Amino acid sequence: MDKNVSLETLLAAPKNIEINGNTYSLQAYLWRNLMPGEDTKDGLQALVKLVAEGQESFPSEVNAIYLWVIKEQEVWQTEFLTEERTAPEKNQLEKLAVGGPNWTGEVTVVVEIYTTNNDKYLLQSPNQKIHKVF
Amino acid sequence: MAIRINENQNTPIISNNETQSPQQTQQTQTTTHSAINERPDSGRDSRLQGQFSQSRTNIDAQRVLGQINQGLNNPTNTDDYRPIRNASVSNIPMAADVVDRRLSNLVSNRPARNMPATADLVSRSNSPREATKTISLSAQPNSQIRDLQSVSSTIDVADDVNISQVKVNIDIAHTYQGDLVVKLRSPEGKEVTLHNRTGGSADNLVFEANPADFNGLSSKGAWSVVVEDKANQDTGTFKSWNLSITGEPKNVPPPTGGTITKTATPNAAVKDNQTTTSFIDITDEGQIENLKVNLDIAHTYQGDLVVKLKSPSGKEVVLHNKTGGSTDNLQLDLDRTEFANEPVKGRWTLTVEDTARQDEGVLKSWGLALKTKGTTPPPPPPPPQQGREVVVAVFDGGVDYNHTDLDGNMWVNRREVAGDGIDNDNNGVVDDVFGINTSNNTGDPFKGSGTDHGTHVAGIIAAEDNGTGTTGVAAKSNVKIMSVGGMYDGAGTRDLLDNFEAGVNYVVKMKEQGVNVRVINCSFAKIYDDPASQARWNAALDKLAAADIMLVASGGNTGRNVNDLNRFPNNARQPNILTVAALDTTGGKLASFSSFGDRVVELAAPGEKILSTVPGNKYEEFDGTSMAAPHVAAAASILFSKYPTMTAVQAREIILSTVELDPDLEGKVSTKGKLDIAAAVAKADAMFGA
Repeated sequence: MDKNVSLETLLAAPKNIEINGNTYSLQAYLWRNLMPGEDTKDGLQALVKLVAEGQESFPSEVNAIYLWVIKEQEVWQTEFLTEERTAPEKNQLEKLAVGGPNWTGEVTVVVEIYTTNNDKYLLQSPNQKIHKVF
Repeated sequence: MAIRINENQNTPIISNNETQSPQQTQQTQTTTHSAINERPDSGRDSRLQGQFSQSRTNIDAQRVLGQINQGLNNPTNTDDYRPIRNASVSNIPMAADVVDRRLSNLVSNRPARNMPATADLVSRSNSPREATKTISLSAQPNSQIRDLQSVSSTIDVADDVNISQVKVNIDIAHTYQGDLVVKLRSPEGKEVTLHNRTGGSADNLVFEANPADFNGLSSKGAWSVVVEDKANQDTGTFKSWNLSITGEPKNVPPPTGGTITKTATPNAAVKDNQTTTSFIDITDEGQIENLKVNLDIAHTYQGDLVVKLKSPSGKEVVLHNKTGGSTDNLQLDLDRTEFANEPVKGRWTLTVEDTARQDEGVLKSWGLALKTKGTTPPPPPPPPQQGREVVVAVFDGGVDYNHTDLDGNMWVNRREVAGDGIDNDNNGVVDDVFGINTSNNTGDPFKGSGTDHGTHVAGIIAAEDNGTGTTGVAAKSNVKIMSVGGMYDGAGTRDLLDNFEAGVNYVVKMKEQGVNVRVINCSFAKIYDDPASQARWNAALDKLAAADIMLVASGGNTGRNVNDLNRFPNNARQPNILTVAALDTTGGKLASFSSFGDRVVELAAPGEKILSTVPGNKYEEFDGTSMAAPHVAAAASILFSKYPTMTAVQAREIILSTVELDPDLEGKVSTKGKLDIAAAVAKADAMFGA
């Protein structure tokens, strides 16, 4: 994976976008698993939900692969796991990424979404707290 | 407007240093961090129905607060058993805020936090009328600053003022200012950058900053300075820093108090190369203004002895340290200022260590005279606990058995004499008064790592209903905590499994000796793929099942399906095991971090923003399935206390058959539901009641 996207571009991403008449927004939950004994290490994990606002189901033409988590000048760039997940709401697409750095504090989450026409867009969710979970 | 990506147009800012697990279909890279490989989750696709933050209405908040009040004020109300209504469960933010405010009011006279070792009180200047107050504290971390790493230093501010001004002075020795980023972080987590890689190649970084960003916030708690070195080659030392906070005090000082005196006459043997321990329990409230301690030890060689005094909050001071040579006996009468501002209430511990051979003696007596700044009215007596005493063994880091919200609900081994260095009950462990430390087979569980975690878990189960702090789910039942600590210690020589086996052997032996151990809580998880280890786990778990002891385990925090993993003890199949997922703050959705799996996780329970006890008479909110499991352990203990003949298998079936079904949990947990303690008790009443 080598997505060469500048920090300025990432931070300029909007908080919602309109694609083919549908508006999309981003929700994110970030955490580090500090449960004693756990094998999964304690690196950053990110659960991200793309929301198709006002829709009954999430359009099949839209998907997401790349994730950037930004803490000031540092960036964790990764791809989402490919395992299928079922979001809690039908108008959401849920993606999980694991194995990030041992950060704390707040970060900005940026996701690249793409359409079946191979159009690509960035979407951000700023000021996301990294939770410590036991 | 959407931003289209032109990937070739921008200068790359992200370097390629990715490390990728071959099992993972995920690529990752960071600028300064290597990726952390994770075990693959081979579980099949499953729904994750947790939801992110949801707004709630005032009506909801008022309803829940009403239920909390009802639960607190009416101990006979069976609705108390519903987890959402327990005061320790702040799982509705608005309601939780109110609970927190209640807590703040209830514990406004809680002891000040301990000062970290690096922090020295420099001065305090109060205006005559307390209109404003300036708190000035400093720390000398003298920490090495290495390339591409960060160091931090913390100052704990005990005073609470509404901040009107913050001044911070930084002293860093370094050979390149331009490498450094320096940040100040408040107790509430607000972070301000004080220096951001300016100054180029200039040496050292000594400056004063007056950030206004903290104005209006509260001063109380841990303040941190973080120094990051962002480049190679040049290094340095974070020498010291000073924090000066000015603001209006929030709390009125307590009234002038009196002097509390108490003595103990243990007449306990002081033996060669052993430590003798004696306790004095103080029930009065207040903060120490001055402490006097006296002691009388008969001994034939003073130079053998190290004598220490530990306060209820854990502060330890050496009173005598192998001085005096061959002089006989040791009689001290000392003024110790180190304990100023410490709370008087709780267990004071005197230890006498004989560090050499040949000469022995007797700790005849010792006493404390505690002059207090003020006393507060005693808390109301707790309502009488109901049912037979049930012991819940917390397999974890050790529990702070001196915590004022736990000390009354700790199991006490009546067959053991504290501090006499003898295995009085002949169970293989010396002085195991509150439990065992599994990593070293000693009777001091409150040592080693994970004590915050273990103390928090214990509080969720059994924090006292005493008008202070929080209240455990099973506080109204006759439930006691046995600390089976040291579970995460012994690295290099012992594994979690070794410690678990030691813990199982201990609780089963104690049960054979008549201790009513019915439940153990295991808020941990580890994968064991090798058959030999799996066999050992199953043998230990079979032993628990044969002893009719229920095991409640946390489901894990991977956010993924764990159906097909060999995680122990969570995924084991013995009929006495319950595995628990975590609900989010809405109480109706799986928490985003919670592991799930409808073949190995049975039910869900509250697991976000759970307020409970932590060491040093403090309280914190934790998230995790580690916090969900003890809700279920507490529920089981309530059943066992009310119906002592109920078996672990029966209790498990009752809890699982009475869950509150929730469509969001379908495909996530085998019951498709969440813990409903009131329904479980009602079903037990129907099955076992007269």
